[in-house]
Amino acid sequence: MTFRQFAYNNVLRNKRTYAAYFLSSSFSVMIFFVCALFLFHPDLQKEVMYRSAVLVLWAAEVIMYIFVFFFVIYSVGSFLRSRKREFGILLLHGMTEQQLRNLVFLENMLIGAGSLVSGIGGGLLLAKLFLMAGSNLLGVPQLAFHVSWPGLLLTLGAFSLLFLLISLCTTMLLGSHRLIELFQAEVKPARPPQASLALSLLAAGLLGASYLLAVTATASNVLIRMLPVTAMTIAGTYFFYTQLSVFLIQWVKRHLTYYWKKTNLVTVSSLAYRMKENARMFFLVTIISTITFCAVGAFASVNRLADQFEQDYPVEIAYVSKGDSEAADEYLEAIRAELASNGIAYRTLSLPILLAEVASSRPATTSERLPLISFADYKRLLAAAGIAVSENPPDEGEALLLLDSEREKPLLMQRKPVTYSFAGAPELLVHEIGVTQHVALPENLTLDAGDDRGGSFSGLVVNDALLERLMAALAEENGGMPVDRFTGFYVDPPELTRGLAAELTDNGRVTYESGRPYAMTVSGTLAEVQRTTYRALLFFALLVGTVFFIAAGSFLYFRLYSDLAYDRRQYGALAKLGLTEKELAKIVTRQVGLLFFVPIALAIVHSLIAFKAMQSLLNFSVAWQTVLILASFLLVQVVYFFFIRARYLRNVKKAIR
Amino acid sequence: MAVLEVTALTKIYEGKIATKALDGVSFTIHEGEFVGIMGPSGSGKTTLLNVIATIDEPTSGMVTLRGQDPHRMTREQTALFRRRELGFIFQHFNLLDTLTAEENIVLPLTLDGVSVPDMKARAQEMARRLGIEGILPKYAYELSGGQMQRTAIARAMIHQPSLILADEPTGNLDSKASRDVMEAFAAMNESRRATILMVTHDALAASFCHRVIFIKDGKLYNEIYRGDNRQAFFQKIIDMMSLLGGDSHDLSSIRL
Repeated sequence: MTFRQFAYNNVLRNKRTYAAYFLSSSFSVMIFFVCALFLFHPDLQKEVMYRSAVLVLWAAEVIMYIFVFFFVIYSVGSFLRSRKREFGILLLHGMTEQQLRNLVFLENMLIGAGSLVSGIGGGLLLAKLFLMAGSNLLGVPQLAFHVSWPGLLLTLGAFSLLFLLISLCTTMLLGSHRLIELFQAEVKPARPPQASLALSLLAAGLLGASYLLAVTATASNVLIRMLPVTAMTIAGTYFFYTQLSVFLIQWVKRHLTYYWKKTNLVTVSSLAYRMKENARMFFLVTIISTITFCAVGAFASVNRLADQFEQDYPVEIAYVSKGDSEAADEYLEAIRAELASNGIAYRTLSLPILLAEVASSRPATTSERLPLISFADYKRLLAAAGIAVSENPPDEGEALLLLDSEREKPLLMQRKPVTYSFAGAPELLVHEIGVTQHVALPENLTLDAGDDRGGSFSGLVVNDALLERLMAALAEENGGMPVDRFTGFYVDPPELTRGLAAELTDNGRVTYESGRPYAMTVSGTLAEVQRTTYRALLFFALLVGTVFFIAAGSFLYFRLYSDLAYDRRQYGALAKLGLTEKELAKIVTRQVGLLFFVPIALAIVHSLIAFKAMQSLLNFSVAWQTVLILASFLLVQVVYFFFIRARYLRNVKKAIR
Repeated sequence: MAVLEVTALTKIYEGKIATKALDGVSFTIHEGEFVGIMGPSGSGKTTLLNVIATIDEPTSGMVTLRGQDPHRMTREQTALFRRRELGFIFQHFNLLDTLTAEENIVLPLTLDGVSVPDMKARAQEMARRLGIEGILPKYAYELSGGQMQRTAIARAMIHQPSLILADEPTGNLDSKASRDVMEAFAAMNESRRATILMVTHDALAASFCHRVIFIKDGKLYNEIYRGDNRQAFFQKIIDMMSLLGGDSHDLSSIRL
């Protein structure tokens, strides 16, 4: 047995301990690799419209990499801590610290290299499947099987570096080298943790308060509340496990009728004993699972925004020329020519958008100028888009906020009405009375009004007569107010406009603020871009979520198996006292069940609350997505639970016979 | 020739109430000697052994092994010192579960980078002397207590250390296995002139020694020599123990 063989044996003969960590690392490498295959796929790269999807995938790579980095550090750290006695024996037999470092380095590199190879191998095997599933999810044409060198090299390089760096740092994770401490690490039974009443109350208080704040959040304050509530929930979760749960166990222990009832004595006492070690791991698993659930849920819900697309873009090609731009006609001509050369039939509508200078507003707003259209023009816009109008025209002195996107509706509904007067006609007061029912002009086509906090809108829809009088008043003053001109091209079906006017726009859009003489949207192109982006986000969330979820599972596995030796002894002793197999199965089921479902249950509660808060921002229900996602994660966890429980039980029973 | 010299060794455990585990202990062990250390529970036996073994550090006093003081060495030197000069045997065997008996035995040589054929040969020889040839390919957890302890003895002696330290080597064994292990000790002591220092509770085990040192409350109390008659020596040890402990129950109890 040479030194290298020794390291090799240490890993290989401990495969049960390392199994979950190894699988989880391999899986992360595989997902990273598959993601890289997409990123460097020639078919995906040449499509301009998928640029945003590529960005999302890059983000996924970076997040996965950072996560795996911490996952590996944490796992390696726990493995080392569980081997203190073994290291003590080795040091006592004259292993130098350099040799111990080498040993740990070799072992880690062995596992690292193994998971790198198996991860890439698995990725190659399943690449075709992933490319098919992925292109379906992304909504892009089928991608051919193609393994790109840059993707392979990126994966190899990134993970070699990761494992190398972490293997080099492991000795720092080892901590004390004092032999007496290494030896006593296992002998010294840790005292069950003590809970403080104050901190337990703090845990309950923090969780309660953050739940309350999240549930009562409204569209206007949900974004402000998000950060503090998240921080409070994280702190509350930590204290929940380290303090409140310990406190509850102590409370249970005082009630002997329950505590001393049959197998409860064993279950509760070993739970109390382990709570110290479990607390940190429970906390990690809860937070990681919550992030996974929320991310997948949020991005699945975002996909439903695409259903609103048609409502948000009632006009297929919208063109707004700013002021008296000379080039306007030229561009319009180019659009007409392009439509004609593609043989696309269209109708057009053109109307003015007035830019009124705000003299005063009460309550004060930041808007200096507001786009105004008359109610008659609003009706013409809707009619051209084939939408029936059911609204009543605003009275004189009243205005409707021109909705710029369905997304903004919940926020705008809560807006405090503002009363304006305009420069040149201070006696004409205009009071907001609500929001238009439909989007008549796509967003970003007019001077932006409102703000992110209170909701943005495209301008005001005012009474026809009022607009006339405003114009007349202003005309006397200083030769009229600036006017933008909108020209809409209505095409049926909208998909025909996909890729049109590509030279005039960036991926189908030129915003009013872009500094060009015009603003423009092409709905066919935008629909495609939005669809792929949202789908890429969901794809991203699923990939990263799976990596997170499997890592959480690996923590649970490690926690369970590091106690196996102790459990075997304990159950062996209990069996001698006359514990039946049925009772044993019951204790083990409870023990493993608590480990597997307490963190997940709390994560589900956290996520439900988070979804409830998110709901306030959306004008469609996310209940169905929420239930579906949480249920599927729970199902996976249940399957995992039964699998591990069976294996663990078999293992413990072997020790008893 | 003196192998081990212990001079005025004191160990104080700091705490709410500082306890003096060792209080000015001095003694010398010569080459080829087999010495037992006995004393009631809490007398400082294990602390003494731990300090000599470099597992723990003394508060004051000196330990020299063949003229070297391991407590004044760099970490690197200490490691090499343990590897070459010391051999260890524990009550709980402390074999590595992931290794076979043979691999456990050659561990100290592996660390030193000895060639594989040389290691094989030396392991075979040790196994033959200890009568454990048949179990070499087995894993540690597949062995009986006596087999485990004899494997541990092989591991402690394969590199021919200057001093072998044994902490309650029979503490976890039944009487038959204890006898086997102690006979193995005695044989190794005779045939290889191995110097052995053993902490024990077991009067029978102690009767295999040349000399037994008794300590009480961290101080050297007495020492007795075997002479020719082991049976008489055994009786003297029993008498001394009841004098020291005062509690006959303490005689046979196995310290856990």
